Amino acid sequence: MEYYALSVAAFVGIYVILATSYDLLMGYAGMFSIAHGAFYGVGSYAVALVLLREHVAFVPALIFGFLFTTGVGYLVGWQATRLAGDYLIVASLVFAFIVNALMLNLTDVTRGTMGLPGIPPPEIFGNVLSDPISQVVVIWVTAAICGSVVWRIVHSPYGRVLRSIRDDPAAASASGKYVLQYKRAIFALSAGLAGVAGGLYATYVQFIDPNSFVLDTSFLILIAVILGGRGTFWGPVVGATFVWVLPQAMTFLPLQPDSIGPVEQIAYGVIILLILRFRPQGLVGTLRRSRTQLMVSGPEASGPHA
Amino acid sequence: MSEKRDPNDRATWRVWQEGMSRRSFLRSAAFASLAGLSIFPLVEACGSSTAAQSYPAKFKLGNIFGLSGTPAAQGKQFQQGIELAVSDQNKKGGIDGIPIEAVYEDSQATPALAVTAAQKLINVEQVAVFTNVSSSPVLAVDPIADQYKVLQVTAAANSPRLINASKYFLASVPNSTFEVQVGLTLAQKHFKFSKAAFIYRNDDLGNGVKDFFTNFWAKAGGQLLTVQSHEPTQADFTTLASKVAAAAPEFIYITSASATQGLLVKQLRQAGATMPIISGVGLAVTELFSVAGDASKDCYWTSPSSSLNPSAFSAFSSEYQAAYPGATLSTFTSQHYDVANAIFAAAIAVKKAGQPLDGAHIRDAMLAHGTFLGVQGPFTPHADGSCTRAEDIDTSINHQSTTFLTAKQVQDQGIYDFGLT
Repeated sequence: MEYYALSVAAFVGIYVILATSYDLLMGYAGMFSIAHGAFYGVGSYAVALVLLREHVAFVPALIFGFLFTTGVGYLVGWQATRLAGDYLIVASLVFAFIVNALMLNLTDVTRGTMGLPGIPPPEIFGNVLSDPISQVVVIWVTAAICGSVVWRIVHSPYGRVLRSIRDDPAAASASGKYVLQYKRAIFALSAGLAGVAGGLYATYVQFIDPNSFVLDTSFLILIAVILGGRGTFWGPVVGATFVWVLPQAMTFLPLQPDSIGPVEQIAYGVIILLILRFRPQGLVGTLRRSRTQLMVSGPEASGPHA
Repeated sequence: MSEKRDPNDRATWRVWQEGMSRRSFLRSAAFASLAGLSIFPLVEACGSSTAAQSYPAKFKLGNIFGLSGTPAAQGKQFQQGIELAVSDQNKKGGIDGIPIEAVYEDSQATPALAVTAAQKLINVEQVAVFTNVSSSPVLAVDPIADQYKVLQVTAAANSPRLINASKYFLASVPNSTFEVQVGLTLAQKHFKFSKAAFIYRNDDLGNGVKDFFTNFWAKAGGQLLTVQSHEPTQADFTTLASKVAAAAPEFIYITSASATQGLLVKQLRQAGATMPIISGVGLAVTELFSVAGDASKDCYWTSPSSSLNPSAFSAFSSEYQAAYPGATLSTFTSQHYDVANAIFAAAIAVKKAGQPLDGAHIRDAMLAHGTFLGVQGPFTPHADGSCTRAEDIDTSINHQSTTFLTAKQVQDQGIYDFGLT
């Protein structure tokens, strides 16, 4: 039974990387992109291809996946970061379509819809980590490393600049910050971390195809960030855990065979809607606000100020 | 397991100017571990591992279907077949006295969800065998089935890439290349056609078949006038249909499997492509009749033979109508009924031989059994993941699927030798 839990934990770990890296972009820098799932796919294919064709070791492959996706992110961000609001959404959507089309049609490289089977599991210092426990440890250690990178950034002066760009780009620019350069860098870094998540996914599932990186993936990442609380470090972590664990918990509901699936999906949707309705700042965001209010105003403030 | 931090990482980041404190790193790592472990109590509360025993109190048959979203309509048909098979076998005493329970997981036909579904079936539900559908989820689950030595069986996925993909994978339906072979030989030997047009859906099934089709038809001396593809979600086929009609082939071969096929056939006819259409069983979705209507005339498709076991098929049809009044019996339902019964027969043989009811023994028993006779006729799973199955040729008459040539007639006319006597 624990192996099933480990499987869920593995996907939670992968989505924690995706959500925290996406929060860098949306929560801290204020850029609303829906191409994160596409970068996840780019990294996944990059790692899978160097593992399958070049037979490089796992860690170099993962680093290559990171660097390659960072490069792609920087190229895309070069122009995309000049856009804002609706225009950035449209540009990122177009990029996601292009990536999907390339995955489908670059058949000599990606095998198109046939996908890439037989991707080897992680191998570190000559040890093939094919057992579930080792794989989950690899994923969570990588998630911790990625998380610490994000933590370091958002708690540094660089993070404060990002927040100032999000809140008032004109003021940030007026204070001497090269806004565009900051946006490009964070766009590329966010994409690179998504690429790392993609590499972990490829080596965990050992099979990838274009269907694994459709727009739904980007939306799931978006939901994780908003549910958890954007612009907070722990929010995306909680959100990613939530969007993976809740549907799995739903599968334990004692449902009739013909209602499995639809009822689970409806219940899942209703819970998310309720959270968005009653905790619009997200799970962690709301908690932070409540605690701050309590500290500033004291317990007596709960009445008139609530 | 532990992993050292790569010192080069530090140089990579211009933003990493002050260095990360040990405390923040440890906090991150500790949280990561806790987050990973926090779901254990949730799962633990929902089931418990039992001590190893040869024969469990229940024989659980796992099933990974798309039960929500777009694949839900077909998922329901698969589920109905399994439910009827379980009900029937339980009335006969289950697995030699062990009651059977079907357990379902919703994969939404996606590889990632299929992986967690398989892990749950194997590690929580403790199944020894499970069914799965759609090629991508099957391939994603292959390493897990091999790792745990749990048998994965399909009665729906038939992409060529499934062959030799896993030791613990068996199929009860022929590979799509087998359908193409029968369909093209039908075109050549029965209809005396030599000029073909080929339409495929741009997915794993269609792409997998395309190369086989091209090579096979060329070797058979046929001419391929045009090859057209469409996206899985496409609903407007007017351009494609016009190109096919302009090529004026003697017949059109379609490799696809989706609810939009009724629209495809209808728009082909509207564009003037009135020649016969030949396909595999995937063409025979209910939308072919409900959407294409009269346009479904002169369509022919290979279908697992119901003519070789007519009494059983008739009885099953009646049972289906009683269980699901007003519903139309789908081939996919019959195939899942058959595959479940094949699994049960193998499990009974294992139990009677005093062997443990695990994936390895059930797999061996299925292969040793050889040919199973189901309501959709005989089928023989092979160790490489392929399957031999006698096929009828069906057509549409009065908006209903009707047998055009029985498997015996197909064999007698020299179209394909199924080994029937």
